[in-house]
Order: sequence, then C-alpha cells, then structure tokens
Amino acid sequence: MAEAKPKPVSGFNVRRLIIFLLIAVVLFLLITGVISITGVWDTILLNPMVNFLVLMSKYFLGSFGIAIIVLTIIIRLLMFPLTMRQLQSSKAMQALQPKMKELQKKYGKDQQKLNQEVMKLYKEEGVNPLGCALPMLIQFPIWIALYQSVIQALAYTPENLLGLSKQLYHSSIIQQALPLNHYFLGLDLTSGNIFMAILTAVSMWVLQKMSTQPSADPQAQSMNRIMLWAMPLVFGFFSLTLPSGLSLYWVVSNVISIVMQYRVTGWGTLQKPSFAFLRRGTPQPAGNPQAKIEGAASTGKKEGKSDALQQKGAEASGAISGSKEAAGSDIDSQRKKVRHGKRRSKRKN
Amino acid sequence: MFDTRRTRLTKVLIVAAILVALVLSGCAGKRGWPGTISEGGVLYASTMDGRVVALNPDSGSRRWDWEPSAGQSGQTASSFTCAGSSLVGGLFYSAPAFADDMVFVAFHSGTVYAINADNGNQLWVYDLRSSVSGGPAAGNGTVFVGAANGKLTALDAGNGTFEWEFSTKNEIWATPAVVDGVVYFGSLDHNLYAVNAVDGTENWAFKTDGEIASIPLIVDGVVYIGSFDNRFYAVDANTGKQKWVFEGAGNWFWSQAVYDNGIVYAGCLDHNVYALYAGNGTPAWPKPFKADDQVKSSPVIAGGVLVVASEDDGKIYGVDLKTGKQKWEFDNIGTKVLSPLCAAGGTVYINSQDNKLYALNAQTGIQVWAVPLSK
Repeated sequence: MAEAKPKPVSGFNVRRLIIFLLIAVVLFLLITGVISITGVWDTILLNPMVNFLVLMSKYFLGSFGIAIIVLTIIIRLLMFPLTMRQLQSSKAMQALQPKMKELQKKYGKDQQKLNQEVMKLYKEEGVNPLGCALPMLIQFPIWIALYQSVIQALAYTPENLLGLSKQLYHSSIIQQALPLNHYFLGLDLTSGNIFMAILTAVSMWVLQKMSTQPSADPQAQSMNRIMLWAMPLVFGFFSLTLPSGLSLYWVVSNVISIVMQYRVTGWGTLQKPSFAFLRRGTPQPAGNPQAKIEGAASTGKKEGKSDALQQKGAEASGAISGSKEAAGSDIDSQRKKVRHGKRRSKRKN
Repeated sequence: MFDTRRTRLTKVLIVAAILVALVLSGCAGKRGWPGTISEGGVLYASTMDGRVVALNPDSGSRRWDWEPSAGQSGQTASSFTCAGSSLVGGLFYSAPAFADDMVFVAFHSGTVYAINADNGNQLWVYDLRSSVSGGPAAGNGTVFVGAANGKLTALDAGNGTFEWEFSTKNEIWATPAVVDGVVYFGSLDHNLYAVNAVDGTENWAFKTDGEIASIPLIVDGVVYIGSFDNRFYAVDANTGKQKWVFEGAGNWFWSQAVYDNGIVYAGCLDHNVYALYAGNGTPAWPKPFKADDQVKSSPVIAGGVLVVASEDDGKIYGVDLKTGKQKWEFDNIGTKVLSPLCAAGGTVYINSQDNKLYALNAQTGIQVWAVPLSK
C-alpha cells in the first residue's frame, strides 16, 4: 500500500500566517494613524531617490539629465533579478499556451474541471502562474517612486520647489546643488519636446511589440493591437506636454527593458521585415511563428483551406511548445519547426 | 484563467487608469499664490483666477474689478499640461505693487500690467517673454520685475517702456525691494544683489550657499534676508558685507521677514518663526514659535501682535511679540495659505488658496469678514 504523503501545507500555512500578521500589523498602524502611507512612502522610497538625484546632478558635470540616466540605470540594475524572473515566467507561460488551448477545447464547458486541469498542468510543468505578477508588483512602487523623484527634483514650478523643500535632506552639499541645471544636450528638461516625444513613443512601441504574447483568440489579438498603439501614443502625448526630464526617464527605462526582453525572449513578435514572399510569390506574414500557425489554423476554415493543413499546423504548433524543452528553447528553433511542419503539410497536399 | 472580453477590457482600463494616475501623480499643478496690499485706505488683491480686485477694508465690498482681455496675459487658455491652467488671466505669485496711484501686477506668464488705482482701467502692458515667479516692485518712477531668464527688468512706471535690465546667473523668483534709489533682490544663483535703481549698475552682490527666493527687508541700512541654505543673513545695505548670520534653522527661508522694535521675525519652512535681535542675530525668544506646518507666507505685525500663517492646514496664529507665545489661533480657512499676509489698522488680510480674502482682528483672531474674490 502506498505510503500517504505528508501534507506539505503546514509550512505553507505558517508562511501565510506570518504574512497575514504582518499585513494586519501594517493595516492597524495605518488605520490608527501611527504611521501614514505618504510618510512611509516618502521616508523609504521617494526622499532617498530625490536626494540621490540632486546629489548626482552636482557630481555628474552638474547635469540633471545625466543624473536621471544614471539613477534609472542603477534602479534597473538593482531590480534586474526580479525583472528577469518576471520575463522568464512570462516566457514559460507563453510556451504553455498550446496546451492550455487544448485543455480549453477539451473542458471548455466545465469551468471547474478546466481550472483543475490548468492547475495540474502548471504543477506538471513547474510553472507558477503568479511568477509574472509578483516581481511586477514588487517593482511597481519603485518605478512610481523613481518617476515621482524625477518630477520632484525638477522642481520647475514654485509649487514643486516648495514640495522639494519637504523632500530634501538638509545637508549643505544638497542645498548647494540647487538649482539643478535643467538643460541636457540642448533640451530644456522642464518643458515638453517633440524629439523626446518621438523617442518615447518609438521605444515604447518596440518594447510593447517585443513583449506582446501572441494569441489565437481574436479578442485577445484585438486587445494586443490596441495596447500596441495606444501605449506609445498616450506616452508620446504625455512627453509632448510634460517635462522632458520624464521623457528622458521613460526612454532610458524602455531601452533597458528592450535589452532585457531581447536577452530572454529575443525579438518576440517584433520580426525583421521578411521579403521572402517577394521571391516566392506567396504572402509571408511577419510575427511570431506560433501566432502564424495558430492564425492559419483559425482562419483556415474561413478561407476553405484543407483540414489536413490545419491539423498539421496544429501538430507543428504542439510540437513547438508542448514539451518542457520548448519552454526553454529559443524563438529561432521554434520558427524552424514551424516552417518544417508547414512544408510537410504542403507536400502532402 | 481564460479571459472573457469583458475582463480583458477591464484589465486594459485598469492599466490605463494606473498609467494616467501615475503620470499625474507627480504633477503639483501650478495654482499660484496671489497677495494683497493696503494703500491709501484701499485693499488691492490679486486673485487665484488671474484678476485684480480693489476692496474697501472695512467691509470687503468691491470698488473695481480688473482682468486682462483674452490672450493678453500670454497664458494659453486650454492647453493640457502637467501644470495646466485654463485661466484667461494666468497666475500670480505675488501681491500687486503700488506707486503714484497705479497698481502693478506681473503674471507668471511674464506680462506686466499697470492699472489705474482709482478706477481699475488698464494703463499699459509689457511682455517680459519669460515667466515671473515673484512679483513687481515700484519706486523712483520705475517698476522692477525679475524673471526666469535671470534678468531684472526696469520699466518706466508711467508708460511701461523698457529702461534697463540687469542679468544674474540664474532665474529670479523673488520680488525685489526698492529703498533709497537701490533695488535689492535675490536670485536662484545664490546671490543677493544691490543694483542702482536709475541705471541698473551693480552696487554689490552678496553670496550665500543656497537659492534666494524671499523678498529682502531693509531697515536702518541693513538688509535682512533668508536663503535656501537654511541661514538668515543681515547684510550692510551700503557695502554688501555680512553683519551676522543665524544658522539655527532646519529648512529654507522663503518668506519676507518683518521688523519691530529692534527684533526681526523670520518665518521658515521648518515650521518655525524665529525672533532675532536685529543688532547681532541672537534669538530674542527662549524658543521659536512652532506652527503646525511650513511658514511660507510672510508674517505681519498688526495691533501689536505677530500674525503667522502655516501652509498646508491654513491655520493663522496670533503670537506675542515679546515672548513668542501663542495668543490665538484661527483655523476656519481650511485650505492652504501661501500668500504673504497684509496688515492695516489692526486688521490682518489673508488671501487663501480657495480664492477668498479673510479679514481678522489681529488682537483677538476673530473674523471680521470674508469675501470671495472670484467674479
């Protein structure tokens, strides 16, 4: 008779209990007014960043622009392990999509069973569904603080300068660093700028394109398209109207994110334009190979293509990301498999 | 697990809302801090909505109301910016100045106006083409205004024509003071300047370790001014040499000091008001008066009481001049008070950020009247 496995939940519960108690204590202190959210926020995050920015602008050629770049790089380096974990989790989740789709087809009508099977799949594949969200949640306050510190330190209005008086440490080195030099490479960092707006929008579009997870779901595709264009446009607009110091922070941050995204997932759905169709005379849509296959499978019926093609396409798709190896393999090898699957389908036909 | 269209849309909307909140969270929007002066039995108040109002000091009733015609102030009417304003008239960061039956105001957008003090008719307008974060000073038949281009500009008070300009090494955010043919003003380049009011030549410059945004106080040949280096200075008005310095503060000095009977009272952003002997800068009170928040508004003396405003909570305090003890407190304003206070005949007048003018009895702290300054 198989020995009953010890319940692994006891340690987990203790951890949960500690987290619960910590949250309860913090909530109690906040509700009773012993600590204030803004006070804690300012003391732990905002004030150190603002003072660091001011201090660095004194020592980096007196340039606030260089100070913004340096602080953004430092913060992103400190967050590197978290960001990488988030990207790796995101990649692993992406690789599970075909299996998820199969499960959805199989158990689509029974939501409870579907959830159970999905959780089972996560367990089997060693994927934590919160793996993307948790690092992002931890990083989010730091990004906000970095953003706020840039706008506070710029102090381009009398109200901002008055606010800065509450953030600065009162050391003579800091006081002497003011006022900050608002000009960087000929740009006035206190006013909006078309050049920085374009840079912000383009870098955000590239990042968005690289990090968009391909999906066969037309609704999801539609949302992805909206986000792909809405985010760069909104931030481009903000860059036109808000101080360029913020745009500088966004551009530097985006470039770092692009580099990290490239290291983990490659160019993602941002492919070099393929001119192969010019040589072959057949259309070759750009984008993630998985998306191509799934796209072919989903649109095949509408266009009256053969079921065999759809089946082979689906097989190839499954071959790409159905295994654990696929989760770790790079995009290029996936693309080769997809092309191979396609050719086989064509030959058969 | 598998998102429906509605949940996806909700997610997108949440992300968009977070982004907009994030972008706007850092925006401390410009609102200005207009002020009030009392001249010849009339109150002249600049307002939060970009106008100038003349009022009777006993009741707060209006004599006249002035606003620039659309587009003249140089303020864009409906642009979206982090610190955007939809005002036609723009913003004020100071009280008006008065000389020769004329009221002078400078908008943050850089336009300077002269208004007839009797009827509120506009006399002339001059565009400095640089933002003004202080205000004008008038004397010697000239109006002096400092701007973000680092220049102090002198304009003929009668017709608004350009007379001369004096350049500093950084922006000027302070309102100048004119005494005996000399203009005294601070600059963000850390210097206090004394400039000849007639031709704009420099008499002297006194260097501090921080930016200067407060209005100098000149009494008996001594200039009293605080700096963003947390110090308060007494400087010889003729030579520019330091007489003494007070180093016991914990934050910047932004407001103008006030003088009475050999003591200088200086409000500080560390929440304190310091009473210092004018002769040597030593504290005149056992301990400074502590307000609940930063003291950004210039304190005034009225009815033998020092009246102080604290910034965030808008509390007004009556403080004993000799002991530094609180005599009364008025906390019915309920909004920020950043504007310099104004005193006349035992009454103190307070421009609040809700665009109202309050009149308080300086000895008791009881409200005499309060009127909205909006149209």
